Amino acid sequence: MPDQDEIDLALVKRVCAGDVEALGQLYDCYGKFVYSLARYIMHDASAAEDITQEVFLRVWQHAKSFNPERGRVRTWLLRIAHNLAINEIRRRRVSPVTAHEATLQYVQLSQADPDPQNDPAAALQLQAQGVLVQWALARLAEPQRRAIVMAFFEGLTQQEIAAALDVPVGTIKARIRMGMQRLREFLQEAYGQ
Amino acid sequence: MNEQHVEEVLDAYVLGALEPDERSFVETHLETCAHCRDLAAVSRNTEGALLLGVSLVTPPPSLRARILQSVRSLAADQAATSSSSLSDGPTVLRSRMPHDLHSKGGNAYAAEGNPALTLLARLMATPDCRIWELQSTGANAGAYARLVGIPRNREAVLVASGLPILTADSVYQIWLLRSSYPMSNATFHVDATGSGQQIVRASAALRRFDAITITPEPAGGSPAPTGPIVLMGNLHHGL
Repeated sequence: MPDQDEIDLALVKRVCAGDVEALGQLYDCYGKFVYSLARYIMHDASAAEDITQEVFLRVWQHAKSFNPERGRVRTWLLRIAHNLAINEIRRRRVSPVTAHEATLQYVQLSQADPDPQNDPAAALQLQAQGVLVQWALARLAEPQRRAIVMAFFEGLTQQEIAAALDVPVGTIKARIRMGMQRLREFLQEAYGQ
Repeated sequence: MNEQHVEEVLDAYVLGALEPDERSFVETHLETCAHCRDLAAVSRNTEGALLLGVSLVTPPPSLRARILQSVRSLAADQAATSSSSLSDGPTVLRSRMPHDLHSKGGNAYAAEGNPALTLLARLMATPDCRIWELQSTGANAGAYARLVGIPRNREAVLVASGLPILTADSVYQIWLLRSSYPMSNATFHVDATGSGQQIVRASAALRRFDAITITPEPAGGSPAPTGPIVLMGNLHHGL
């Protein structure tokens, strides 16, 4: 039985050959993840729909450029979504207050609305991995988590984060470096590596 | 930044947190330094995991159809302008991608020393795995948890975070509700960050239960809930 990477790769090849239904299958597996990432970054359901649509249009148009040696299909999709969303909020430029609220929202997952009822098995496994990542993030010290979230999900540079939080930029650099190191350790612990 | 290497800023680099001149410096360095490229790949793996670290929200059902309609329109336009544009097949798809942090089989996820995480890893690798959200009841807005299990089975793992730290003579207790009757389950503690994991072993298949709640109780647990519900989830949702 092929693993999910092989299945995904086969779908991308079919997309390359002009198979719209293959794109639909990729959407079935990863559409919710793409939409959720975009919505989380944008705080805007309508913008998240537009970004999700743009992601899959780009997959359709650029499937031939996908190089499996550089990563997995799902990571490719999510990175496109991340780049589009970050570019958009940088264009809109969030305020420090919004950034702070977003950080708080990140750890308050009570608004989550997963609906795994119709999700394929691959998506459910991915959701479980997401649980581990959230668990690892929740274990970080709050200043480290906040710095990472503001950088990655809000598109702020270290200098911008330092200005928003009114702390020296060296402090933010240390928080990001140490936070990411801790995150790696937590994930390795979770994955038994 | 180290004159020889850029390893100290690679995490900020993959997160997109460097200023343009810093980013340019790093990218130039990576072109010629295999050592830092290897480290950047490690950072990139962590960044890839972060992409999954958001709460899931179900997109509108109409979105799928809208996207595929757009693609069909685009395909029709492409066909009209170039009948051979999509007929060449993949040109860059050369091989299976190398395995990374998340690409190992279920056994490789085993978390040494933590039975809950070991079971969680095993469940994750199961196609029938389901996730149920536990919502905060409001008093502790930062608290959340998820139950990961297989509906037809009795075992699951509760992963909780953001819970208030209790005094030494108290524990959190899990309750599985069936016909509104709370059935006592495991107790657990949280660490200094308010996080905890606990294996849940139900008296029947998980799908037989209606809901799950968590309350603070005296150490050792209670035969019936006495504390306020801090988290609760609907077990029908997602079955």
